Amino acid sequence: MLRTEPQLMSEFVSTGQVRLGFHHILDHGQASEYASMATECAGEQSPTQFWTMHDLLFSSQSQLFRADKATYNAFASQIGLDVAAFGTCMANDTHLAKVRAMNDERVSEWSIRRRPSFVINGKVYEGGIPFNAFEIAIQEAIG
Amino acid sequence: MPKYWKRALTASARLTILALLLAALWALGACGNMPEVEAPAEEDVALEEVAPATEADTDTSDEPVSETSEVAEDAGPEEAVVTGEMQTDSEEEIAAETPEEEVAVPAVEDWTQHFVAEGQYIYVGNPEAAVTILDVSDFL
Repeated sequence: MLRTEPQLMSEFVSTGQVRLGFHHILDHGQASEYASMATECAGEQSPTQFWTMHDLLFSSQSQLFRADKATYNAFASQIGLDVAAFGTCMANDTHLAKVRAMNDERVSEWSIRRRPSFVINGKVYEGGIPFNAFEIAIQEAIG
Repeated sequence: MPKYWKRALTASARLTILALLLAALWALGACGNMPEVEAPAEEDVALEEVAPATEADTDTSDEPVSETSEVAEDAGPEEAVVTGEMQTDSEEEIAAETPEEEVAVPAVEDWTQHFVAEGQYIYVGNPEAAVTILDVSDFL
C-alpha cells in the first residue's frame, strides 16, 4: 500500500470518490501487534492522528521489527500526541483484542493469505496490484 | 588757423554742399514721383505699425500656448477623472467578482483531510464516497 496509497489519495480520495480504511494484519507477532495498537491508540486521541501515525510507521518501517513500547512513545511525542495517555493505552494493551480480531477476520471473512490485499466495496483483491488495476476496480465499483 | 582745421572745414563744407544737393534732388524727385517715394515710406510705416501688432501677435501667439496648456490642463484632469472612473469601475468589477470567487473556493474540498471513525475503522475521505477501499495490511 505504501507505493500506491499516494496516488489513490491524490486521484480518488482527494476528489471525494473514494474513502480509505485500514484493516490490520499481524504477520510478525508482537512487533505487528505493537504497530497496530499504536495507530489505534493514536486514533483514540483523534481520527486524524490515526492516519498521522499510520504514515509515520510506514515511513519508519525498518525500525519496527525491534521497536518496544518506549519506541512508540517516542513516535507519539514526534507527532504531538498526549504521550502519557498514549503510553497508558499501549501499556494496557487497550486495542490488542481489536487488532487480533481484525487479523482473524481477514482469513475468516475474506480468506486473504497474502498482503497487501485490498477490499474494494466488499470485493477482495489479493496481493499487490498495480495502480491501473485500482482504476479499473474503482470504475467497476462506481458502475 | 592750423591746416587740419582748414581741411576739416573744407570737408564739412563739401559735405554740406553735398547734403544740399541731395536735398534738392530729393525735393525734385518728391514732386515728380510722389507715390513711388511715399509708397515705400508707408510700407515702412506699416511695417513699423505691424511690428507692435506682431508683438501683440506674439503675445497672442503666447496665448494659444497658454490656452493649449489650459486645454491640456483641462484635458488632463478630465482624462484623470475618466481614468479615475475607469479605475473605480474596474475596482467595482473586481469587488463584484471577488465574492463569487470566494464563494467558489469552499466548494472544492480536499477530502484527504477528512477523517471519520465508523465501526472498527477510521476512514480518510468523503463519508458519502461511492467507493470504500480497505487496505488489508501489516505495518512491517
